[in-house]
Amino acid sequence: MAAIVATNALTKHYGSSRGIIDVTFAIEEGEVFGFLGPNGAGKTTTIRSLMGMLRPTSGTATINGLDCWSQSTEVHRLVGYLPGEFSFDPKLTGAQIIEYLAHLRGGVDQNYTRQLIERLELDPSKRFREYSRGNKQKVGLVQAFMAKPRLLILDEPTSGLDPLNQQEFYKLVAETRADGRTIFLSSHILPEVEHTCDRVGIIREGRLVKVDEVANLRDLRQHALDIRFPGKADAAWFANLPDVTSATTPEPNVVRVNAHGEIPDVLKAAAEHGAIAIESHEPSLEDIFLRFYGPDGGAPAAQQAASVRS
Amino acid sequence: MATGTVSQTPAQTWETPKAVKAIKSLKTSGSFWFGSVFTKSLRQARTPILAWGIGMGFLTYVVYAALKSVLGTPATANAAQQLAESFRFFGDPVAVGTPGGYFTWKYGPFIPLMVGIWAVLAGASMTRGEEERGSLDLLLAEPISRTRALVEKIGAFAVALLIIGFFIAIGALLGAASIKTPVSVGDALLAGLNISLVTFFFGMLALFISQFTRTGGSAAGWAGGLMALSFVVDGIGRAINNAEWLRRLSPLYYYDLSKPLIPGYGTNAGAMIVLLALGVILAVVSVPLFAQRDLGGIALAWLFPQEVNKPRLSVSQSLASANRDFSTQSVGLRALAAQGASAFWWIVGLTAYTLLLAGITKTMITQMSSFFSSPLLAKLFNGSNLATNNGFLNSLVFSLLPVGMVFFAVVMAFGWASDLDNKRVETTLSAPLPRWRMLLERFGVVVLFSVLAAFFVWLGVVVAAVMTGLSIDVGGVAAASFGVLPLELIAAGLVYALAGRLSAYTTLGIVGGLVLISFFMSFLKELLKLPDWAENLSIFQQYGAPLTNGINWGATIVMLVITVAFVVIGAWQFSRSDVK
Repeated sequence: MAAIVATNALTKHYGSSRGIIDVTFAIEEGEVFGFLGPNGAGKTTTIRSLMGMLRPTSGTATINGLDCWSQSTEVHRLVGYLPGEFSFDPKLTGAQIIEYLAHLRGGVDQNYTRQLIERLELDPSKRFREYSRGNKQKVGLVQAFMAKPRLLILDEPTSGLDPLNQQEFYKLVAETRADGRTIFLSSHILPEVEHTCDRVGIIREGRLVKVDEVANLRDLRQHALDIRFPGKADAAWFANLPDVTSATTPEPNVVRVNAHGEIPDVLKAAAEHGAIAIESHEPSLEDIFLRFYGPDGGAPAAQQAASVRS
Repeated sequence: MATGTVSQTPAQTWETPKAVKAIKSLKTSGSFWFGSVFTKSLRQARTPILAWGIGMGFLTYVVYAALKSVLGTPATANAAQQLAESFRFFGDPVAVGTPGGYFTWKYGPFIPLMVGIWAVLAGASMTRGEEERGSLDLLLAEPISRTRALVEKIGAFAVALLIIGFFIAIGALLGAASIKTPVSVGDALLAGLNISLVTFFFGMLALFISQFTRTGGSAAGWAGGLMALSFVVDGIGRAINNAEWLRRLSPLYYYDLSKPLIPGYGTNAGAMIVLLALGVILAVVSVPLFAQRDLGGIALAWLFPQEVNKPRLSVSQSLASANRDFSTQSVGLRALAAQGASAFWWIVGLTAYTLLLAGITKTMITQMSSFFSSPLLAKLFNGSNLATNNGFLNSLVFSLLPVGMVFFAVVMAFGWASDLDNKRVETTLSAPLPRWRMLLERFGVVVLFSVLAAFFVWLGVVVAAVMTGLSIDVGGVAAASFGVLPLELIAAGLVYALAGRLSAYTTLGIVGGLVLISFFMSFLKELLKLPDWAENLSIFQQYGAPLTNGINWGATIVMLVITVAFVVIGAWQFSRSDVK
């Protein structure tokens, strides 16, 4: 498989403030690539550089071998795009926006467009200003998917969608992958990326700190479990189990366990000591970043954490 | 403990020097200017206050200071008085031979209309502006009543107009002092106050109307139209015998009743109170209308039944009808549809103004045939030879109309700048369409609208002439109408050249300011006595008087070449830089 998206030391400065620095990655044709990072990390800047909206300060970005800046018109023929901030003339109806963009693009199958609208449960006869945030997002998704482009670039595609429509979106992603087409999506929701993507890039403070397969990312997945026992509990029951990063007793009969990856041993130990309840807290992405990456975005800090514990 | 690493996190990413400075300044100056809706609104209006205040104050000063040379001798003063008697349409001919009288006659109605433009825009967007941006929800989520919020905004608006009036008073004082015809401080301040009062009325009119429209733009359109109408009604009432009663319908009549700058004429306190009362009534009515309605909705919605429930279209029907819709076919057609309604009303307004003034031309020529012979009169009235129909039409119709047409083109071009600012082009740009082509299609629409405006102005004069039996030079009128085209295009082109780099409102400010300066350089050339090279920088000077002298082809070609250059710069700039 050949890379359909490739960046090489892509850098964008906005005056004095930070944009993105030396971002290098490649996306293979046919894969779903997730771009993960907290707010302001540089996800949108990277995406807008790929779309030829921003001119790179240095470095290059190519799509299908075409330069994203100087050959942006040719690039756009291959790409369906959902901007992070989808805005349009408020007086137009959803149908008018979709048809307008379809005419500008050319060769859009109206049947497929109709299917998309029905699947996402969008009423296309309303004016853009009357749509809620989620419905605006649906218009954006329909116009991005309608031309069945070879590559989809979606900036936080599920933002504003209700859970049912999110599921429908995940199905669209799966179908697109089955078609052999490529998706590049950004998100700040870790489970979403885990759920939909083959590989992820993690960006923080403008730098790409990790690119890996989702399977390997599971190591990043942190569990914070509060395990409640009928009587007095002991943190030592869990402290030395594999994958456990810390164990404490915030209350006499509760053990708080932090672990990453899969946790069969923790569950077994809990059962052995007669646990009566387990409460799980999903840590925020920011927590994970802070725990796993040093301030300079360098080496994983898991080992440091382990050594602190011991 | 793993959590220990959290506390070791270095400085937060937002702590850039800029952010730290912003927070520091919030703690000091912010406590005052952001302390209440009143001060925050006043702060927001600071640029227009200075621009309009200093601009109009300076205009007042310049006109006053130059009057000595115009009204130098008793003969010229007498001629001016006679001229004004006939040109009653523009103002009351009172003591026109004196500086105060001349100023009041020629600029008395003009200055409030100029300040009125801001007043109408500010009034229309007082609630609608923030509603459209969505920031009013946030403001009103604070424990502050809607009544209080709007009253404070109205208060800030009133103070802003008082400051603008004060600047104009200063301009009059300095100007009068420079030609040693002293005006008392009290009279100058009253003249400024009179302007503040009449513009306050128009602002409150816009606020009132905006409670019934969904956008500030349409409220500003209606209020602006009514303001123009009140000028025309006042003028007709003055110009036509036995129509004095008509004037009472126009707020400008009550403004005209006070002429503080004319010694011995003085101020009509009753008229000022009427103006104040009219403005306050509109304000007082608007507050509960605003307090009682849905945000984003319209007041007294039960009076305006929703559009009849159309049968809901299926997805296929919606798509099919949108697919056939001409406005979804290309960028240009889309822009044509988006700006069509606004362009239509502009063109209707420009045509109506043309019809009206061309329509009364014949009557006015008959009325004032006695003193056409004096070349001095022509000098006073923008250099046209008033003894001919063409010359008369030129000064009556084509003195202000070109500015209106140029502003029309600027407003149409502004649509592009504001779309860029509102990030509305990003998705469209993701289509496989070169950026320069998108820009050119949009500019093409502005060209089309400009041509239509010129055509309807021409048609307006011809129709009015046929109806009133005025003999005109049809070709000359075409030259005068279409001769404005290069002016419209050069101004629109400048908007396109600047829009990629500057914000939409900065662009509008720069281009609007240049158009106005350029207009005054030509309109006041007899007073300003600028060197030739400076005068020739004005596009209106280059326009000249095509009705009598034909089109200035050299200048027209130069202006068209500059327009092309502007558009090329705009397209180059837009293609080469980041999308906002």
